[in-house]
Amino acid sequence: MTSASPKSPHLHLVSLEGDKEQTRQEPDNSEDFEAIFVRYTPYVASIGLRLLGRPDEVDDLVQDVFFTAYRKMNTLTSQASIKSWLATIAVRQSWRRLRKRRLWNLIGWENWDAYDTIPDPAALPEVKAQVSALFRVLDTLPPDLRIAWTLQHVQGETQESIAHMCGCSIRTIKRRVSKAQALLKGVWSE
Amino acid sequence: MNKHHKAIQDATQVTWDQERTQRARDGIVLKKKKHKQKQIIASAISLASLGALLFYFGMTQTTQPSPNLAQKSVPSIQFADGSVAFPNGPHTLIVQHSSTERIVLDLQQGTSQFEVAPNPNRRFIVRAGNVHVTVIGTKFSVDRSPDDQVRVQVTQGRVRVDATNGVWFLNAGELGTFPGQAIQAKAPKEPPPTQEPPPPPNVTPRPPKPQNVVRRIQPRPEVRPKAKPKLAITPKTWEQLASKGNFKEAAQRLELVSPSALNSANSLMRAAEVMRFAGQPRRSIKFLESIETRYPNDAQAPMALFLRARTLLTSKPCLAAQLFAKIQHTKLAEDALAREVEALGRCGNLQRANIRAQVYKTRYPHGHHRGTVERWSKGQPQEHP
Repeated sequence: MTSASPKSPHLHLVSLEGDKEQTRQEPDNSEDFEAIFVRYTPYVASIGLRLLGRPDEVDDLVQDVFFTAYRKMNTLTSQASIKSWLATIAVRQSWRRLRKRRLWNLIGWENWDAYDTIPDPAALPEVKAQVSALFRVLDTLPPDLRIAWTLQHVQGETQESIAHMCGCSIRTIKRRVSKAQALLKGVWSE
Repeated sequence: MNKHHKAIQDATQVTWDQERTQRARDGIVLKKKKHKQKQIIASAISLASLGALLFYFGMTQTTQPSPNLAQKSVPSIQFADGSVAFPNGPHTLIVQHSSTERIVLDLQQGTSQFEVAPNPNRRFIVRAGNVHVTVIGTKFSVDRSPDDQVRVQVTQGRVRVDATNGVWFLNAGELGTFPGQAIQAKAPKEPPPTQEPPPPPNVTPRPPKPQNVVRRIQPRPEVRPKAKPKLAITPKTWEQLASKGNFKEAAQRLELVSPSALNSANSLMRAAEVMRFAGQPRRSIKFLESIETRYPNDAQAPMALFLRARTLLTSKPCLAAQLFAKIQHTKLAEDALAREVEALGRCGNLQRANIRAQVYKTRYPHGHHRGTVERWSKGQPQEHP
């Protein structure tokens, strides 16, 4: 990360073929976005997996998040807030996907059932079972409640940061988390 | 965070390797390309839609009635053919006649705007005193002021104005001011006839910068000849009326037609007949005269001459006698000679009447006008009731 002005970011993306360079504005700090991309991709991916619960959708989500970040880079106010900014984009992209998935589920087009692929293969069998069961239940929750609960209890974010990511008040987050908790209580005991 | 949550967090870690990073990077590049393409397509569609909208509104504005009139909540008179009159302010507008072939309005006072639906088979005439506005185009307004000045403003198309000082054609954007009735009173016979054209109306282009300045434009001499071929449309209508036996309406329509607009001796003769059948024989004289001057060798010419002389027989018998004398060596010669004797008798020229009566008796000893000739050669006989 360099000390480039946040108002005028210099972005640089290199295609795999290496024959074309898509540049935007001045190319002198062109490695900025690349550096952000390399540095925060695992973080965005882990948020994506925890929020969506679909390993096969994580790559798409990462692309969407960084593409949006690339387009909206000039709205970034502080270099220090890049991580939370990317998390906010990831949360909003996830929310859209979850809402769409819920709609598909309503009309019977969503029949994904590979919950055992979510946990890390290296995890203990009982943890794997717990994780599979948890995401099975999370799929029944409304997106707002699910995101709030997941960010707090799985991602380990504070309520302030969740409120910032979701674009709502802390009070709303508290209410959503408690509501989600109540719905999960019968199925998921702590 | 409790133990469960920590365990779940650990179990949902993503193993993000170099290969996935490259794949994601490649995907972003692809998305960027697609995004650009979408932007271009969206811009093209927006431009095309905008162009289509502009084209559509541009087209409809020329054909639809002007919104300023449509939006006005003024009383309007809607005619069956779609034409509308919008009287403005205090006015007296009388619909004198409304049919599929003719609409005649009489504007006795006030102002009215007109939007006339294009229809070549229907005449739309607005009368304001002696000024008759005949629509050739579509939109105009007529304002009859208290001092009997009639202002005709054409906003679209073309109108023909028959005023006491001549016939005028106003195009879109022009404004004419015509005397309503005053001309006849103001212009008695004392001014000697000059070669100059009649006093022109004040004709102004429509968007004059200052409203009060009226730019006088001499009427273009070529305007009237140019307009005359267009009047070739009008005989169709009066001819149709005449063929239906509606001679009075045909004659009214013919009043607006100049003989020079009729392009054959037959048409002129028919027009003269219409006038005579409508009970206006004196108005047929101009058509008959036109046959004599324009088509002197036509078979109709002797008949036109005879009819003209016959029309003038009572009012101008001396002139009639001269005209009858011109008719020789035709089938009408016997009748013309008998009428000449009558005309001379009416004129008081009994000497000449006797001479011509002798000629008749010599030429036509068994002619069926013998009795009449005999009577007129001895002086004007008593008219039978």
